[in-house]
Amino acid sequence: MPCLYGLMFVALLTVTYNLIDLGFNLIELWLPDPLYSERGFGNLGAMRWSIAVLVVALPVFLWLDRRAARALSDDPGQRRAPLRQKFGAMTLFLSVLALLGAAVAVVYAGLTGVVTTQFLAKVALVVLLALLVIAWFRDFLAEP
Amino acid sequence: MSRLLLPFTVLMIGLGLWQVGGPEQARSEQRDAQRLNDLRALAAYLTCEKMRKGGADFICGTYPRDTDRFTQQPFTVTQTQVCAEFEQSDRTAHRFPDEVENGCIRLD
Repeated sequence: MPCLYGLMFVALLTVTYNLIDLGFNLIELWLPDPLYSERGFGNLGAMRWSIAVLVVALPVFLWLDRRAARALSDDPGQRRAPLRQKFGAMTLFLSVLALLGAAVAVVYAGLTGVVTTQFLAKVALVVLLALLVIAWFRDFLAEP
Repeated sequence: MSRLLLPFTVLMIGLGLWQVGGPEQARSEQRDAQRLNDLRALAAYLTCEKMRKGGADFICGTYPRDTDRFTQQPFTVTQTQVCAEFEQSDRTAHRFPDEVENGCIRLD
């Protein structure tokens, strides 16, 4: 079981990191910022890599999540297992940190005058993803 | 809300695939990248030769490829630029806006 939660944590981190990476590349492609060098289609390699990682990591994460759910249905006491609680708490902690980081980035961008459409779209993506992860793990940790 | 993570990820993968295209798209881009490298080599050589003929003491090396290595079509060479037929001309121009214009590299 420790291995299961550890792998699940790594899989989730992998999925969220590459979702952000892919999302940022797509935003830069669709909302180019003329102040910076237009990487645009130059990021195709990076996008392909992110897609490849997501195609592999997402099913792994889902499979591990199903296994965790099955283990829980076999032994409801697992819900209070320390490692499960730690895994959930760490994930929520990192997601909240991401939200706070996004808030700081917005304020800083405002102070430095780089609040562009591209920037706001990236912040929105980070916020959305953090909220989705928080919502997912609220269910993960919640009592029935 | 908690179950939106999966469809959101699938949506992002779909959008990504829509933008990057499939394997043939990637091969086409690689061919264009090679065409661009060949065009750069030709442009550099022609620029060097121009300066050497103008009196500069340069060694320009051997004459590089002046045909498309995939279609065997000759590159278009004028006094001011060298041009090739790119498969993904819009993408190539977008990736190298300061260098490639209408499939051509300007000679210095």
